[in-house]
Amino acid sequence: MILLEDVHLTLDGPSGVINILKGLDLHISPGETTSVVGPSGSGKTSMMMIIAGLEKSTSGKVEVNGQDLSKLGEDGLAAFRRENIGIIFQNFHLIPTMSALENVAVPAEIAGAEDAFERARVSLESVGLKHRIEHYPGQLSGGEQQRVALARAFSSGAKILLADEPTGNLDRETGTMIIDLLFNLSSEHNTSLVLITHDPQIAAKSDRQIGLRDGQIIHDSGSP
Amino acid sequence: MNTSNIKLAAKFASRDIRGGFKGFKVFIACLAIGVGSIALVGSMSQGIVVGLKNDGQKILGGDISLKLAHRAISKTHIQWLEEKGDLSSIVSMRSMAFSATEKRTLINLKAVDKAYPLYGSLKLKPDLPTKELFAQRADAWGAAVNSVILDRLDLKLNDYVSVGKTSFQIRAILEKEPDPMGGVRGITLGPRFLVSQDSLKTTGLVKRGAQVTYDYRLRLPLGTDIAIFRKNLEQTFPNVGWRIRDRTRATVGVERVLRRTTQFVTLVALAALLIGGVGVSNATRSYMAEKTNSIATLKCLGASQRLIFYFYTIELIFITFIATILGIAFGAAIPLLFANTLSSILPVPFDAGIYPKPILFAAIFGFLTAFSFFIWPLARACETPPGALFRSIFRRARFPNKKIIFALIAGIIALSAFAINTAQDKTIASWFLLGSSASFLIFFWIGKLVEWAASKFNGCRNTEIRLAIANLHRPGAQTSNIILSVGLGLTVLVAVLVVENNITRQLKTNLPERAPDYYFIDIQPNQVEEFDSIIKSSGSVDILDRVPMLRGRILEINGLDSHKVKVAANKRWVLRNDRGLTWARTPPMGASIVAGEWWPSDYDGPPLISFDAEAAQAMGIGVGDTLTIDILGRPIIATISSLRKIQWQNLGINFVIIFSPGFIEHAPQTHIAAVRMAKDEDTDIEKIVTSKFRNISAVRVRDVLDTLSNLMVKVGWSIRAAAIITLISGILVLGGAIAATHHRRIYDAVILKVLGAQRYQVSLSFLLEYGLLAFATASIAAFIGSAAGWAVITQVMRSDWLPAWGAVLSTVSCASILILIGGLIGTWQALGRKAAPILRND
Repeated sequence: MILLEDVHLTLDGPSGVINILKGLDLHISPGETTSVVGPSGSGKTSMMMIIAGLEKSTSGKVEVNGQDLSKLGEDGLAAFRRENIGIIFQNFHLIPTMSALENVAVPAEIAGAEDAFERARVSLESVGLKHRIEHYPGQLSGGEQQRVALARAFSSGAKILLADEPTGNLDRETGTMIIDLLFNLSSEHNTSLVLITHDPQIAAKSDRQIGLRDGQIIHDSGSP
Repeated sequence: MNTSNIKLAAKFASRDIRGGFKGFKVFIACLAIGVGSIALVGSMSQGIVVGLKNDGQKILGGDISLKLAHRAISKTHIQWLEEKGDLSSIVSMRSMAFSATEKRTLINLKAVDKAYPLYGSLKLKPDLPTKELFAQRADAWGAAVNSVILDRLDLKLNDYVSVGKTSFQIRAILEKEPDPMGGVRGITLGPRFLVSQDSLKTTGLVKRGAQVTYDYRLRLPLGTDIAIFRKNLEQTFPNVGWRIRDRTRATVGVERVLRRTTQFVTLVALAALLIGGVGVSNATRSYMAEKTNSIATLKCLGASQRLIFYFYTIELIFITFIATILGIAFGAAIPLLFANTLSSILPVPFDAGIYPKPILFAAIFGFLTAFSFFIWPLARACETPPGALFRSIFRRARFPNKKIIFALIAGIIALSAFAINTAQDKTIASWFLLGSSASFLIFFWIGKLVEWAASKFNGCRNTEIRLAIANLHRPGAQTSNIILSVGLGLTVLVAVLVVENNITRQLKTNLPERAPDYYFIDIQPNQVEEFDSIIKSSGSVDILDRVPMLRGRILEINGLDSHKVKVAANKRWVLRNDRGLTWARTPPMGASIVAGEWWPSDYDGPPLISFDAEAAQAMGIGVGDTLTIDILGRPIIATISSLRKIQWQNLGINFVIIFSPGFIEHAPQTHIAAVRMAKDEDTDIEKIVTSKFRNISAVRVRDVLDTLSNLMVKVGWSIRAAAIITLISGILVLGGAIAATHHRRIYDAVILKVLGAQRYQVSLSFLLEYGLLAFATASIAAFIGSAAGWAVITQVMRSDWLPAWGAVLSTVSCASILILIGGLIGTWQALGRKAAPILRND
């Protein structure tokens, strides 16, 4: 499902060249849930961006769902994300001028699906927000906004879900509820989940835990 | 172009905009003001054009008008014309009117026949029938006069005045003529004095060679094809030498002046729109900055760059549409709402209405300007990488691709092409656009230079000064935006005021130093000797310049019909209508021969001409070329033997054409004299001359200059109003720029206060920041505006430059205070905010 081979990422920063990823090798199977832990600056987010096709690796092979991402242009990558990837952000990133229903329908609308709103409605029901579908993000609590984001990620039928510290801006109770929802939905949809977290308890819920430091994998519970 | 992409983009745009126009206020205001100004100027101009067209018959006095100088037409012509329709004739000339107490004034004498007016009606007070008005009673004939004559001669209704040898009783005040051509043009020398032609014959003023104009008007039967009739007339009488005009082109001259004025004011309004474009650009940048997350989110959700670009382009086009609608509604509504007031103020007929063409033009200007200014910040925002959503990695948006650069260039070219194409004088429009582009670049780079200089300034220990200077260059500073927009508006205003100030001062102060004090016209050849001796013996005259004067029209240039010759626009008047000409044995005073040679004083050969060098250049002719000139209906072929450089500004007697002796002196002619009085002499030379010669008219140069000065004031107001709109646009942009940094200012003020700064220190740093900005902007605008004004005065108008430091200084001081006040109002709120809520939310 996800295959990274000797992936390097080098960026030009204000203070010179920074080597962010230094030869990552990783294979994640369909339906597998994987937690990525590591200190700030270890390369977690960069790895996720490379898997999502939001960042191009400097060298190495990146293959997701059988597609070599290095062969796709910008619009090709956008189409690839549309069909394969769902992303959950720490700051939710809903579009403020759209209602919850419209936010959830966007990926399907972009894909040209005629039943985009029907699917969005079902998806919002599945996260318990049937009564909030006409509300705008500004009218929702943080937990509700993240549930809308979850509904949006699953509504397009993504095969891979990438979550970047999805509970980072939530209180513990709401965070736990969101994580439970995330794992349940992933299991229900047989989605591969890559979850970045600082919380060992959340990481422990995954099938597999990976530890990153200084751009390299230092621990992989799934490796032989 | 993918239609499903566009449909989806339109759907997203409608969702985005349904929350209202927050963030677009400056965008809409900047665009609406510019579009509104252009629509207003266009609608007013079109209203006047339609008014002139509708009143064509009245203004012309008939369906066809035939005008001749010096002579009446023959009985054969009259008979032919009377067979075709109703004929009416007008005889007009300048003369002097005298009261019983020997007060006198120059008048514009118009003698009408019984058929007058063929169209429209006279408005008299009291409303007398014309028969009663003009009738001879006892030994006086009747007249209707402009009320100015009563004021000047200190008379009332039914008092008596004499004109020439005849006594007239003023029986009515002439409130409105149906055919006020002089009035339509705006410049008339001498108020109207309306009499009958029977009475004119008794005045003795109509002598051989006198400056008399004969105008024959014809009312044709309904349904007559004007073009066919005119062609028939031209073919039947090809060589009469009359000037034919018909009702479809009754006001060609006025329309020409109107088109030029419209173009000038439109260009100034376009400058306002272009400055507003800076506001559009800033507002788009601010708005799109708020959309960065949405753009990145959409990209993460699989939206293509193109879809996002369409989405926000549709949104901005919709906003442009709203702003344009507001602008054209304003521009079209003002003439309608104030139709009655405008009709009474304007010296021309005005027909208020909704005119699609100027509205469409204003809308096109609005769209092209908005597109050219929003495309770049929009495209840059659309290049936001989706990775911008991840906290740890944020990188700048990439440079837009070639298609966007192409679209930007296409927008600018389309705007320029449209501006040039719709302008009457394409050269002026091209120079205007070139100047605007150069000014944009200059102000942009000066803004950057000020930011750079501020960044290098670190030698001050005073905290407030250091903070103020740091605010000028730190990331997100609006320094270059404010300098660009306010600077451009202020430059236009300074340039316009400097030009206006120069012209007004030259008219009022400079020229009379060198110009004559009086012109005397219609001096008969047999009066010349006595006239000269009276002038010289008065002992108070400094200079007397007297020359013979005839009227003639250039028919052909080197045998080619003059209408078919290409002539530069500024000298076309030389070929239009009859022009005054003279003859001389020796070169006139101060003449400067630049090509060829003057003829010997005893020359008696075939006709030669000394011609205006600038007119010759405009016509592409020179020494050795021939001109065919119609004098009193007789075509005379003359060869150009020399070219003269004429100084028109000194208001001396100047003629484009001076004939050699040997032929022309035998033609009927009068003399014209320019007289300059010795300093401090208050001899009433006008009284002396006109008392002796009742047919001679005196024109006071001071009156002419006052008339011109009054006209300048009227024209000046419209131009100044347009220039002020450019400054308002600049101030709107300033407001937008201050609003864009509002949150940052509040945050800065709070942090400074938390760190121990007192309120006055924060206020002082803001005051210094805007003071520095105002000083830099005003100084640069004063310099560039004055330079532009100098260029117009010395290079375009070829006049002497009078520095207008007072006008410049007062304008830039006012503008600086405005910038300062605007800046302080924008930041005042920041000073009053409590720290805790802001720090808690941050």
